[in-house]
Amino acid sequence: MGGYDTASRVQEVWPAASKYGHPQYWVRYFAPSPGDYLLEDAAVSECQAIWDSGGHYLSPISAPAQYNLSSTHSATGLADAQAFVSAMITAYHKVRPLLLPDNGILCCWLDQEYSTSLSLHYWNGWAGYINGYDFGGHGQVLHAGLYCSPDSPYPNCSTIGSASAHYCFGIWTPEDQACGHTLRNPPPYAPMTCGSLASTRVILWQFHEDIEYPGCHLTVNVDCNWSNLNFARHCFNVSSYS
Amino acid sequence: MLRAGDRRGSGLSVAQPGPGALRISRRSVLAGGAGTAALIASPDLFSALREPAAASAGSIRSAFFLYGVTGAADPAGATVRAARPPALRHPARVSLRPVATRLAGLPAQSADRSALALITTEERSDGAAVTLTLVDMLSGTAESGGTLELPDLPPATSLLVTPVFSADFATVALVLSITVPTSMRNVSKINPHTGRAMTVPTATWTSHHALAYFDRGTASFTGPYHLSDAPSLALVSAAADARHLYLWTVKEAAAVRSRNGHPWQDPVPRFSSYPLGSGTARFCVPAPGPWPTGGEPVAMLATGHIARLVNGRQVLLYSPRSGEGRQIRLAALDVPSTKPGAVTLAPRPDGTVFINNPAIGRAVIADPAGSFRETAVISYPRPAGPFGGPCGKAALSQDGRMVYVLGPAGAGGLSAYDIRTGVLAASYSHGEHYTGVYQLASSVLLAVSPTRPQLVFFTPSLMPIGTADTDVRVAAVF
Repeated sequence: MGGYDTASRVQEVWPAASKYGHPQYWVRYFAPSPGDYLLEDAAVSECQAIWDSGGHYLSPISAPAQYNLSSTHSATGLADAQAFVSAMITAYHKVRPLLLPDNGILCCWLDQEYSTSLSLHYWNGWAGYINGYDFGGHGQVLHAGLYCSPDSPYPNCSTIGSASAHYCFGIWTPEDQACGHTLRNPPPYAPMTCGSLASTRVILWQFHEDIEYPGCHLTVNVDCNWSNLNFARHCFNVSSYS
Repeated sequence: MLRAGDRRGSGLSVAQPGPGALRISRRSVLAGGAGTAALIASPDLFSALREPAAASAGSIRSAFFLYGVTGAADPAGATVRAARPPALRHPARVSLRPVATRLAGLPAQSADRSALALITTEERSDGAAVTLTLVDMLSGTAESGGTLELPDLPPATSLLVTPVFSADFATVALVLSITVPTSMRNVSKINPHTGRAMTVPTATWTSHHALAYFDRGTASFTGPYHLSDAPSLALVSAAADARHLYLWTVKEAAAVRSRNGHPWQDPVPRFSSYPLGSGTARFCVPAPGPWPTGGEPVAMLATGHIARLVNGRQVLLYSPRSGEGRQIRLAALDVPSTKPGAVTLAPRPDGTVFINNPAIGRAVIADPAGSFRETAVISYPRPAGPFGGPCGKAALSQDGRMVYVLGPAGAGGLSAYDIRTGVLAASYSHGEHYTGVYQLASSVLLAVSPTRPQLVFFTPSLMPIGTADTDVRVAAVF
């Protein structure tokens, strides 16, 4: 299997989630994500839990207030990216075994939900900061990625497909629940793509189960990656824990 | 430097232009080059609508306002449009009218829903200017405003403005996040997909904050007062009571310590209080906990304390006197979730607060005077879109008896739950997955749809009474 993502703490959902399989990586939220438990607030214990799960890689995502993404001032995107990078630096310095990818390509996700409009100004402010940031003296190792829904009527893939849009490393999409499939048995890789809206490739897709009963809460989504890409190679490496 | 607009007692008089004054003329559109503010709000914008508004003081037909964009690269930028909601008994056609374009960010609403603060910014050869326009939400007219000059900002400075109403609505504080680039240059970076080198711009961005205050009585600014807090993150959280501004900031991590230097210490947020009109802190204390993100709910409580809802699960409660804080875990919301939710916290007239987290399908009424004891807990099926825009995912009825939420992920529509019993009282669906729900001043419910028509109106018993459409992709409703 691929990996898991969760808005909760890994230590809160593991080992219960092991019934779906053992992940290769975890996608976790960093600031500014006002509705989530943030990784940097408990970076050491979270990375310990990631290590214990057997998935030794950590992919960072930021989920800013979604109205920010509609801002047509790049200052908003820049400010959100600045906080995201600062949160990643905090985790990087706090967790000694946390290493940058060997290949120098760390994919950093921006969460754009289905009904959120992404403005070109915001994207360029956000991605410009991410792509240009010298991370701890290691150079421009951060690569901007976008979580979005290509079938959404709102501006998303079309935004990063603009000729004047800053570079996007890859797209991560959610997939609707498919009949007969569960988190233990996700459907085969068949993500919705951006088609002609953007040349950026869908490299990761997310499968979730829809549970409609009040009080019944899933804690993880399953993520699968493009077969030609070893996505873990574009994550932080939780290299060891004793 | 201080530049003030004029005050309009009636909301109908024409501005008396002064140096740097905000000039809102009849049907004026201040179109111009990039970065130029374009305010359309004019005294006669709602002339056709003012009659019924004036006829019923404190009218239930107060205008509602939509904030959003029409496209990814719309030259008009972020936009506000307004309309009057349909009446419950005599639904009429809803006509949306432009109020402002090229806004610098999300408008701020006064707690009594009487005024909306709109911000535009303009880059100038010698600095920048920030224009505040206050719109009367009853009449839909521009009530007052002014322009704050920010001279001597370096070129390419990034400016973020957070407006905050004081509790008595007499003052609008502006928190300015000023981010200055240095060492701007291009670097070469390999595109891993193509293997080709690409050029990416890079710079060292350093942020600090400044405060300014707009006095609605004199229609004038004091400030800006620049704070010595560089290098900080640009994002802040802020609130105000009738006398003080409360501000959370945090240092930029890269500036705290290098990896090979001294033992790492997390950047700890700072909580400060400033008398309204001042740039000198009354106190500035460490405030351990999640960083201020700007998007987290912050509210002044009837107890006088200030509450931040963090992680979607906990309240950080601060003393307005000393800044001392404590953390309160909300048991009903302390539930793991796969996805983030658009969490909200709203004070109620009786002193309690209404908190909603659609990611776990849980709405709570809690009593801050009783350590946030939960007096009502509503559990509902998670909607399909608990986090995407717009941010309103639940609405409490004005009498506090019913909570309206987005329908289940499978069925969509809207659902209404009885606060007292927690039981589903009504639901409506024809398969449409609404993305937001708001209760307007007239008691009419507004559901936002991802498809056209985008605006669907309901009675409090969830009977559809009309629709309206707009090309604005709605990010927020006021």
